[in-house]
Parts: sequence; C-alpha cells; structure tokens
Amino acid sequence: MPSDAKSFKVVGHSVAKVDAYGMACGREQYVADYDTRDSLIGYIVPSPHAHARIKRIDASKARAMAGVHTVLTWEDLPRNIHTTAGQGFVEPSPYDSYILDNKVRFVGDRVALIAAETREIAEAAGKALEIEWEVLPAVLDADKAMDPGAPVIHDEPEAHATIPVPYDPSKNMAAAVAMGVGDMEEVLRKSHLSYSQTYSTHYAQHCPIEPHVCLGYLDPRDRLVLVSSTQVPFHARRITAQALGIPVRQVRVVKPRIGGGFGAKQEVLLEQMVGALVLKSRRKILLQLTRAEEFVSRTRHPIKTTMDGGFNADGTVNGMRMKVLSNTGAYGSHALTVMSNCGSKVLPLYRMTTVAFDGKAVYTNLPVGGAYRGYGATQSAFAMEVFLDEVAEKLKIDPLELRRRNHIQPGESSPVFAALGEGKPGVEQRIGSSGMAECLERGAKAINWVEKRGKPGNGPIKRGIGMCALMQGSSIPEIDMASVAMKMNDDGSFNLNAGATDLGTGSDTVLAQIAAEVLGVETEDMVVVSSDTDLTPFDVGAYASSTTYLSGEAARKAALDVAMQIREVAADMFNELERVEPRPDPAKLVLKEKRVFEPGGKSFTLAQVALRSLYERDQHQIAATASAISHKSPPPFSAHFAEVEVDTETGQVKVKKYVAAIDCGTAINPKLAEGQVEGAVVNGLSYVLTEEYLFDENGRMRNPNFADYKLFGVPDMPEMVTIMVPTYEESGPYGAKSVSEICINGPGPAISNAIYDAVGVRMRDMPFTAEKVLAAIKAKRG
Amino acid sequence: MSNAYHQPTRLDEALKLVAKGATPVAGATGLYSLRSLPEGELVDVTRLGLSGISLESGRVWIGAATTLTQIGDAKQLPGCEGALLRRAAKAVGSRPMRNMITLGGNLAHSAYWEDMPPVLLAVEAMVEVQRAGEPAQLFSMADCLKPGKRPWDGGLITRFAIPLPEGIRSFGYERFSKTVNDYSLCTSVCVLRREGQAVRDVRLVLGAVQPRPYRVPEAEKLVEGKAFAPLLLDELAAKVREVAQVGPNFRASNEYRRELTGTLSRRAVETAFNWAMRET
Amino acid sequence: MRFSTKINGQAREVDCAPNATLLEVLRSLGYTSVKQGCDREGMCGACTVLLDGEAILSCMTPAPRAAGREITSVEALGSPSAPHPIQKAFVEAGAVQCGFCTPGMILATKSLLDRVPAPSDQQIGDALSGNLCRCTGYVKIVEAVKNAAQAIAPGAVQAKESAHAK
Repeated sequence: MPSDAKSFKVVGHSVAKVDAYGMACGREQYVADYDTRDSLIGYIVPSPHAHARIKRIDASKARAMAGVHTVLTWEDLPRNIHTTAGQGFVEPSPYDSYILDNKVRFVGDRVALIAAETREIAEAAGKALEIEWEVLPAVLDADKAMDPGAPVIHDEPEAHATIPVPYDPSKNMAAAVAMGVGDMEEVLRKSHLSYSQTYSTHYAQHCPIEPHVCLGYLDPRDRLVLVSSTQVPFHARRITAQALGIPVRQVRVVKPRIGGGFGAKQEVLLEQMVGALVLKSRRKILLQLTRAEEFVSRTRHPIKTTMDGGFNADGTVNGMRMKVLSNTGAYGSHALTVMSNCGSKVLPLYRMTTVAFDGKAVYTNLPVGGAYRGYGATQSAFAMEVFLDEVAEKLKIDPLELRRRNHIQPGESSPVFAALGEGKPGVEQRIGSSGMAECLERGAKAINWVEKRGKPGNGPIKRGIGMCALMQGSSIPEIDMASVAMKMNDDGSFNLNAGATDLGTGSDTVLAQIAAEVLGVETEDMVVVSSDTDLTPFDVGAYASSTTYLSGEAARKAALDVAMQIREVAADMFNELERVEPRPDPAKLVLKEKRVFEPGGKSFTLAQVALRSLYERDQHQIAATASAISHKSPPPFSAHFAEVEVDTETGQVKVKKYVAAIDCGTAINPKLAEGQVEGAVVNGLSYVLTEEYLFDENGRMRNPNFADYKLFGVPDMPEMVTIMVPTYEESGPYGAKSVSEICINGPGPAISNAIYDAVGVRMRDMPFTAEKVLAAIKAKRG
Repeated sequence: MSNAYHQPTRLDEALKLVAKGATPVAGATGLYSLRSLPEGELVDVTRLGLSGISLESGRVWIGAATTLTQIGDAKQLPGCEGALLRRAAKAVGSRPMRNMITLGGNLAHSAYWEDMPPVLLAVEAMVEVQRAGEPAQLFSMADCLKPGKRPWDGGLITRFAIPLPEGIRSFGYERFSKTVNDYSLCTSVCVLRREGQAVRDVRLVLGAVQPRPYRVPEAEKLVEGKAFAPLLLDELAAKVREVAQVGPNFRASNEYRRELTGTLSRRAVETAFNWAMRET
Repeated sequence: MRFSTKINGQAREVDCAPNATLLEVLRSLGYTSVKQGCDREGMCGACTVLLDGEAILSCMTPAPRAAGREITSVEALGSPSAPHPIQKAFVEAGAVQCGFCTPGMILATKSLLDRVPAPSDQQIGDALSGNLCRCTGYVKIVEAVKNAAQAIAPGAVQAKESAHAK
C-alpha cells in the first residue's frame, strides 16, 4: 500500500464537495424544502412541569377546534417501550421511552401530538387540552439523584436495560460501568506525587442551524415515508417501526440534505411522532422544531469527573483513576455509552499499567443528554488535561514535556481498549499510526510555546497560553457496519449508493473520492446517493467518527469489486477487438484516466467497457455491493494550543490565537478535513466561553434562543492555525482515520490552562464566563 | 378592527392612522419579539421621508426612520457627538439588523439593552414628536426616559436634534457583552469638555442595567472640574458601583453587573479624559 | 393583501396576510434557499435576503414592505453550471459544509462586496456577524469572502477605517 499521499490522483486532493454548488446556489433540498403545500403542521405539546403525572387528559375541546385534524394523547397510542438513541440493534441505551406516556419527566417533555392546519392553531389546540396534573417533586441536581428517598423518575415497570449492564431506575441510575487494572490504591499510596481533583462540564446544545425536522406521508401503497433530518436513517426506520408496532417493510426513511447534526440527529426524535400522526390522519405532516424546542430536544450530558493519579518525580504516570457522574436528564439516551467513552477515549492516551474507571449516569428532571460531537471525551478530556496541567505544575515539569513523556506510541496498547467497550467489553488494539509527537512539536512552535509561556504582562489585561493533548476513535470496533452499492453507467460513470449519512460533513464527496481513486476516474464521475432505506444499502449512520474510516472502506471494497469486473470485460475486449494474445490477465490491467490499459499500452475507455457490458456481449450490469466492519478503532491524535487575554477587571476571556495540530491519517480531502477541525474547535470555543443553559428553580430553561444562548460569530474568532500532520493508518481506506469529533475536546482544557498561565486561577468548572472568571480572580486575591 | 398594513407616503396620513390606534412599524425587529406582528392596523413609517441626516442651526437633525446603518456610516456627523453616535450605532447587532433598525424605533421600543438611548441621553438629544393636527413638539431625552406614558404615545417620533456645543469635547464608550453581536449587559458612556488641564460638563450615562438608561450625577460631580489622576478614577469607579441602580437580569447576576458599572465607567471616563488631553 | 414586487428580477404579484413575514412569503413562492434557523429573533441570519441590494432579515421583515421594491435571493446570483464569483469562491474555499447558512452568508457577502470591494478582516467580521454557522468555524468562509473580493475586483485596495474619531 502506498504511504505517500502524493501518489494518489483523487484522494488527498481538495476537490469540491459534490453538493457544494447546489448548496451555494440555493438549489439543494432540505426536509422543509420538499413540497409541503398540502401538509398539516405537526406539533408536540410540551410539558410545563419538570415531573408530573397526567391523571386525566381530555382532548375533546382541542379536537373540536376548526383547523385541528388530529390530537393524540398517550391513551391513543400503543405502549411500545423503546429508546430514542439512534444506535445499532440491540441498543445499549435503556428502554425507557414511549411515543407518549402518562407521565412527563422534564419541562418540554411530550404531552400530546397535534396535527393542524397551522402552527398557531396547533398551539391553541395544545392549550385547549384539559389536563389534570399530579405534580411530583423533581430531581434537579444530579448529585442528589441517587440519594435515598429521591423522587423516582422512571417508575414505569417496563423500563429496562436491553443488555446485561447495571440499570436501576428505582435509584435513578440509568447506567453504570466500572473497570480496573492493577492496584490503584497502592499506586496512590506509593507514588512520589499523588493528586486528586474534580472537574465539571455543563449542558450544551448542538445548535445545527437547521433544527430537527421530519416530513411524513403515506405513499400510494400506504407505506409510511419519512423524509427526515437524521444522521441515522436505518436506525430511524427500525425504531420508528418498533415504536409504532408496524413492520420495518412498511417504513421508508429518506435523508435529503441535512443542515448539520453534530450528534443531535443521532436520535429518533420526531419520526415516530410524525408516523403516529400520519397513520392517524392519513395526511402529509411536517413537524419542525422551533429553536426553543430544539434547545430541549437533546443536549450534551453534563458530567462531573474526579481524577486521581500517582506520578513519579520525572512525570511518569504510575496510574490514574477516573470517576464520572453523568447527568443523562429525563431519559437514558446514550447514557451508558457517552459515560463509557469518558474513559475509553481519554485514558488510553497515556501509558500506564494501573488504571481504573468508575462511571454512573443518573436520571434527573432536566433536558435529555444525547450524542454530541466528542461524546463523553469532550467532558473527560477537560478533566484529564487540566489535571495533567496541575500535576505538571506540582512536579515543576513543562506541561508539554509531561505529555511528551507519557503519550502512547505506535505499537503500544492500553489496558483500557480491551476493558471498556460500548455496553460490552472493548476490543484490544495496538496503536498503528500516531502523529502525536509531531502534533505536539509543530503546535508548540506555531504558538511560540517556549517564548510566550509564563509572561502575563502588566496592566489589567493578562496574556496566557495553555495546551492539551487529545485522542478519539474511528468507529465502534466489532459493532459498526457500513455498506456501499455501486453500478456502472453507459458513459463510464458510476452510481455510488451509500447508506452513510452526509449531514454536511462532506462524506458523500469523501466516499466518491475513494471510489474514484480505485477506478481511475474523477470525483465527478461518481453520482452519489445517500441515503434512502429503500434505495441504499445499510449503514449504521453518521456517528462515532466512523464514516470516512468505515463507510470509506466499504466504498473502496465496492469499487475494487467493480474494478475487477471492468477488468474482466476489458480483458475480453483486448483479446477480441485488439487481438491481444493470449487474453491478458485481468489482474494486470490498470485503470487510470478513465481508461483500462493492458501491459502493452493498448487501452479502452470505461465508456467502451460499459457499452459492451450493457449492450453488446455477455451482457450484464457491472455492479457490486460491499460491506465493511471495523476490528479496531484507530485513534486520531491532536495537540491544541490556546493563547488568551484575560481582562482582570471584567473577567472576560478572549482567545487571541488557537492552534490545532491533528493526525487523522491520510486526509482524503484536506480542505474538508480542515473544515472539520475548524468547525469543531470553534464549536468548542463557544461551548466553553459563551454557551450556557440557564435554568429557573423549576427546571425550565430560560434562554432557549440565540439571543440569550450565545454562539460564536465571525467577529468572535481568534486567529486560527490548523496543522494537518499526515500519517498512514494501515487499517483505514488509503490510510485514513477519523477527524470529525476530536477537536471539539480541545478548547476546554487548552483555555482553562491558558487562563491559569495568565492569571493563576484554575477554572475547573465550565463554562468560563466572565462572571465566573472574575469571581475566581477575586477569590484568589482574597 | 380589520387587519391591514398601511404604507403611507405622507406624514399626515400616518399620523391620522396612529391617532386612530394603528401600531407604527419602523424596523419591525422589536415587534417580532412576540413571534409575529400584532394583528390589527399597522402603519409602516419607513416611507414618510423621515430618514436622513442634516446640519441646521448648530444642531444635527437625524430623521426618526434613519437606520442604524446610515448613522454608523454617516461621515457627515460632526464632532464628538457624531463620532459617539456612529460608534454606538455600529455596536448594534449585525449589519442586516442595522439595515432594519431605525433610530426612532430603537428609542420607542426601548428594551433595556437598546444601544442608542444611552448615547442620545449622553449627548442631550432632543426628540421631535408629531401628532395629527398638532404642531411638532420637542422633548428632552430625560423626559422621554421617564417611566409611564411616553411623549410619543398616540403620535410619532419624527426626528432627533443633537446639539453641537462649543469647545474641545470627547467621549468614552464601553459596552460589555458575551459575544460581539450580543446585547449589552452593561454600557457606560461618558461625554466631557476640556478646559485647560481640567474637564467640564461631564455626563456619565449607564445603559442596559435598568429598563432605561440614566445619568450618574454623583459620579459626574466627582470628576467635574478636575484634572486626570488615577486615584480619581478609582474613586469614580467605587462611587458608580455604590450608587448604580441595577435591575434583575437572568443572564448575569446583579452583583456582577454592578461591578461592571464601575469598571466600564472608569474606562469610559479615562478614555474621554485621554482623548480630551490629546487635543492641542 | 395584495402588492407588486420584484423577486430575482421577475415582477411578482403577492397575496398575503398583512402581518406575514417576507420569509414566509418567499418560501411559499418557492424561494426555498431562504432558510429559517431561529424563532424570528434575527439571530441566525439564515433568512438573509437583499432588499434593494441591502442585506435584511426576511424573518423580521413585514412582507408588504417589499411592495414596489426588489428582492434578491441566492437563486438569482448564479446556478451550479454558471455560479456567481462569490458562490464559486465559497465552494472552492471549502466554506460550504451543511449549506444551511450558505445562502445567507453569500448574500451578506454580496452586499458587503457591493459596498466595499476590498474589505478588511474587521469589515468582513462586521458584515457576517449576524450569520451563524455551526459547521465550518468560519475560517474558510472568511477566506472565501477575500477570494471573492479578489475575483470580482482584482487589485482593489483596502480602505482604512479610523476607530475613534475626535
């Protein structure tokens, strides 16, 4: 396998995204852009209470209102328990959700479903529901969720875990995981330095600019068609069928263009609601969340992490223990797996023989956690990397040097890989490719680490720099599967039908590039369709940093199969038409420049091959379907460096410069890969500095809008430096690993550490709002 | 009342509609805070010729329908007052928002965070109001910011008069927000005049900490007639924190915003001082 | 109510409720490049269109205000086979990921470059400050704006802006 990216013709080049011109010209269709003229508007009546039972619900007045077509309450629907987490079957998230229940568990939870002619009418109908509530005491503090006597949030007898993992809803425990290798207590007792500290991360929303939206209707054969803004069309099909109690064959999920997801749409949130309304009303239903509703749809799990570690004087890590308490909110969506990833995507970064992880996820009456870019690693990398900064200070070692001495190297393994999986033991793996060392060096140089560190300057505004090291994974090993179907067309172009879900990431383009590389054609010779459960083969969907690595491998395999079929036809053609004797060995034919070459230099165009196979001799469709599963989850590595200014009089932190150096193996499309890095970094910057959920005393979010929940805009941007450090991952297509998630994990620790360098205060609780930083500065002054 | 959206081109037509109870619509951005325009009669006031900036008898006149973009870009706005108005106008939201928001609408809407009212107060702007069949009346900003009935109720704000006093004048403008295009959580505006090495006619305004902006006379007195001294600024900051009226705001605590009133006022006054002294 | 307007160069008769927004009207007429990303707060910029050449937020603009004026949505700028230089610059810079904010970004850019042929970083930041993007991190968007400026007006010189006049 070539290890020099420059030898590739298509891979490694920043070709234009296949859908970019359509998008830039406003032509691409998102869900709400489909023909919705004859649609009813779907509406989910939100709960005003954090925790309450519906003792009686009377929809007769609402149903009688002009313009109201359908009102569904829990009494009208099958009670099929399921999880909304868009994960593979059988899902590792607990089954604790119904389409509608006789109980609500957070402010904004589902009370009833309405289909009406306008949103205004639907909202009015919602207000016309007569509901007798039994308001229950609520759990609004994750620390108290498991206290004896705490209100039980999931007291329904059907709630259960579908896999053998600890689950105890009577104690509000949604999930638990523990692992340990070696004697941690002894390490802590005997090490030169033993240190313990606790860190916490806060709620956040993905804020795709397109909120969740789903359009549903019955096709001419009465099948339920759902055009949905989803990252997981196949899981959406399966879970919708399960929740509605109808066969999978009755459901078709179509994924058009998606206006961003970041994990929010790895959730089956609207499809079963729309399905229920469509089946009842037999009308076309458009359900789109408002921004306010989006904020309480799915969120990032807030997590409190306690780190314990034992270290030698030279910084060697003897052992570390990570304890996490995850707040999964009212439902256990992704509770177990996000929590597990706190350990599995962070602890293996450092070489250690003794290691322990202990995680619990608890139910509260607050918004529901879910999959969010970084998926637990964001939360615990913050803990790990600030912890190490503190340890470095105590040991009087440069924090950069501490990472250099301890980070995992190619050929090495970590006991964590085998111990921590997703709802089952993990998969042992050795690190193949790693550019960590180079990331650290090049990043440090770009930020001017040696020169700038420890020089806060005079005046009220202090400067500081901080850094962190990161890893993630590429797919879920021995669990994820992706497949791609390809066929050849008359002109030598190809259809590439992928179950993989491009949600704006550019994966359609990346798959096309990989297939084009195999077939010796250009990206534009690939006509990509993704994804439609009727038309494209299965793929688990866009999550776990898997698409390039896994779906890319499926594309490569399908293309290799197609290429072999082309060679077979071409071999006949050389023999028959060009009188090459004997018939050339198909394996020796070369596909390049949209032609097939035989060793003597004679060639046919791919169009000639296609025309022959379709119309002339031994007619058949050149086509293939290939699947890929992963046996390992090779981590991408990254080092981040932040330079900040801290205004000691207002507490405001401004990031002046941010450097992200990343090893994602081969960047199949460097510009798209950089875009993933930059997008993740800025999402992270915004998360740790200005984004914040503000709740009232009843658990209602007070700022569910972009006026009061502040995302970074262009003028908030620091100078950004993105450094791609190429490596070659032998297990990935053309050497690729993942890139999409890892970089959101950096800003929390890098900025916290930079703040410490500037003003000497440790920010261990996100977010670092001006008010909190000022309070910390004042507390330090005493 | 039937629903209608009127777009008169003559002021008297618009005034008649407003007198009958129609809702004036200027930039419309404030009206959408309830998710849709109110039902009933609406009067668009953007086609009445009420936009534009002119210099007349020692004052700058700014039409009520002048957009914040027009003000932000108005090179012809003279002096310290003009520069301050430009600065504040550019601090508002985003360019498309500023293309829509009008100066009159910004005052009439008067959400606590609005950026123009504190500046209008600091430059002692006068507000011209017209009613159907009545001659135009001028009100001081102080009158306009009083609680209760607004001077323009039942009529329309038609234009603003900005006085241009003599002398070497300068300003300081400080605005704190989470992100650049966020609402202000605290604004402090200082305008002053230099007299020798001392400053006179100091006006210090706090915005965004109460439903309406207000002057801080106790702090103004501290610096009035004084020369620059760092200790004086510390004293000023402490005084502002002591006397500032800070209303509740769920986005940040009262204590923190009180802290900001002092910090930002100190910076605003210092900037104004420094600019005044730079003049020869 | 009824009124006449011009959308993307075409005269159109519109019939809508007096309190309808321009966003609703444009989308119902099929100009689906105009997106809604927030609850009429004017805070996401996805609904940006040009009204007589100036960027405005269609979600907060009363539709009748378009009477007798000209609206431009991104469909008018160019097509995939004949893109406008700004559209081309966005695609080539990698500034388009999910594409949901892209029409608004491109129109905000258009109104900027129509006014300022060679914008400074600060002017670009100001012009795009109301357009949120969650995918790109803005780096490639800013690059695209600069490349578009170069493509449209090669050799144009940045004007200096003084921050604090007397």
